[in-house]
Amino acid sequence: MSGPVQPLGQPFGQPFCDDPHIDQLLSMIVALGAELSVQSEQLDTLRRLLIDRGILDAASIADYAPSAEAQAERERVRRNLIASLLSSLNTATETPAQR
Amino acid sequence: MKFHPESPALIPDDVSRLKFIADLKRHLYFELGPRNRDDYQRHAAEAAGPQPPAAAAATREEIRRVMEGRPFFQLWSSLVRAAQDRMWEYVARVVDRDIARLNSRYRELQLAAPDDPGTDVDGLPDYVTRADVHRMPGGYHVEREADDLRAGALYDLGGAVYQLGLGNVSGAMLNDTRGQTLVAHLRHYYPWLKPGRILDMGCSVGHNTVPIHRAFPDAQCHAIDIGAPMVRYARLRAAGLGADISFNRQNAECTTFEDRSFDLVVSQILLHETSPQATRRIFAESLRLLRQGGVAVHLEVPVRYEHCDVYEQFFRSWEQYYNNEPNIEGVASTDLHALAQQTGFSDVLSGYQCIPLPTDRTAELAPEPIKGRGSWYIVSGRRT
Repeated sequence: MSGPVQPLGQPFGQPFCDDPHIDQLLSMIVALGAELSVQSEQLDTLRRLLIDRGILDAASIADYAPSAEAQAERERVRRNLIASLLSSLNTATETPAQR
Repeated sequence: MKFHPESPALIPDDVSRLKFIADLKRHLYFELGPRNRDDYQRHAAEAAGPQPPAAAAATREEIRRVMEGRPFFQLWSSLVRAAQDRMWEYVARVVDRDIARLNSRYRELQLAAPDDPGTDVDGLPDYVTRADVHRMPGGYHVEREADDLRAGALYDLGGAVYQLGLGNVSGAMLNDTRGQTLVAHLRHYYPWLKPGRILDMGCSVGHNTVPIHRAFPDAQCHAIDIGAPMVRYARLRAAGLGADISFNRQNAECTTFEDRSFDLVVSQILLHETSPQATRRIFAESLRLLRQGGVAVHLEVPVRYEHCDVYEQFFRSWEQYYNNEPNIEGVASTDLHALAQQTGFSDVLSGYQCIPLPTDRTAELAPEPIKGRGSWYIVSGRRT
């Protein structure tokens, strides 16, 4: 696959707000909301499955300590989340869609 | 999860993200969008001072200049754009995870039955290349490898999420309410029509060609689009749905089909992505292609400036200025009924056609926008 697609048209980084930082913050909030929504739904799926099947109760979830492998996976996911949230800080020629 | 048999595969996290974007868009359009008008009216009252405002209304451009300086419009627009850009980012994640499989499925189809390669269109029109329509990176035409259909896959998923964000749940993720609406129009106003050959101009990924093909399964159905990746994906998509439609790459302004070779020619939300000149050429081309007694139907976004006050005209053109839909104002301000008559169509009909719902199959065209009910604007006519 060749390189990223160059977006055309109304400049991707052109701000609406008097302070362009506000545009970047709003883009981060949208991404944050999307990721929060993903996590909420995943958690809801897991809780329902575990409790419906009698596998766990709420206390076992509160007492959980992740293994080293689980910890490493969590760190990878966390770094991706941070990169996604902060992608609006990229310059006008480096849009999220190009990553 | 898949939208249809050949769609890119979504995992639950993709669905969560895209549903979030659809809900966010819906909230922005319907809950917060109207506050822009309140804010503009507040500005107008402040500007007028204690005296009543002058009778002369501002123009769309004057309102735009005012609103671009208003903090609420800035925040709202920035959020709408951020939601759009994030939508393409999330859709691209889905497509790029599955693109090798999709491209190889297309090659399998090609090996089994080679495509009509269509014509090498004489360059791409300016309205396609000047800007990425809907801010979809790469637009309709960019290819990243031979036989690439990525743009079509992006558009298919993004379009479905976009329509959900507009609250248009009829047709669900197949995003085919335009085709259903067009068929409802044909059944009501042209019940005698039994087309032998059908052409859909500017079909994109063919999602709205499929319902027309299904309404007339005995007809030979052709569909064209300017974007090569779009017609490749359209072919794969239709094959998955079992729809026998011939797709090829052509410019709707000047196709290579013979004069009087179709009984039904349609376009669906094509015109507002072209130009005023192209709109006239597409109308003329649709007439040229019709046999005597044939019918042309052009379906468009339901934004008519003659039915909007000047503020609404400004607001409804947001997509042109900030979402790269190049001819919203051109179509909304053109009398399409008169244009069809000038082009040479007979018995021209025009108006707002309700999207058919299981609970409401209203089939008559409405002369004015229908409040609280999804509709598309239609102009149709016959060749006599």
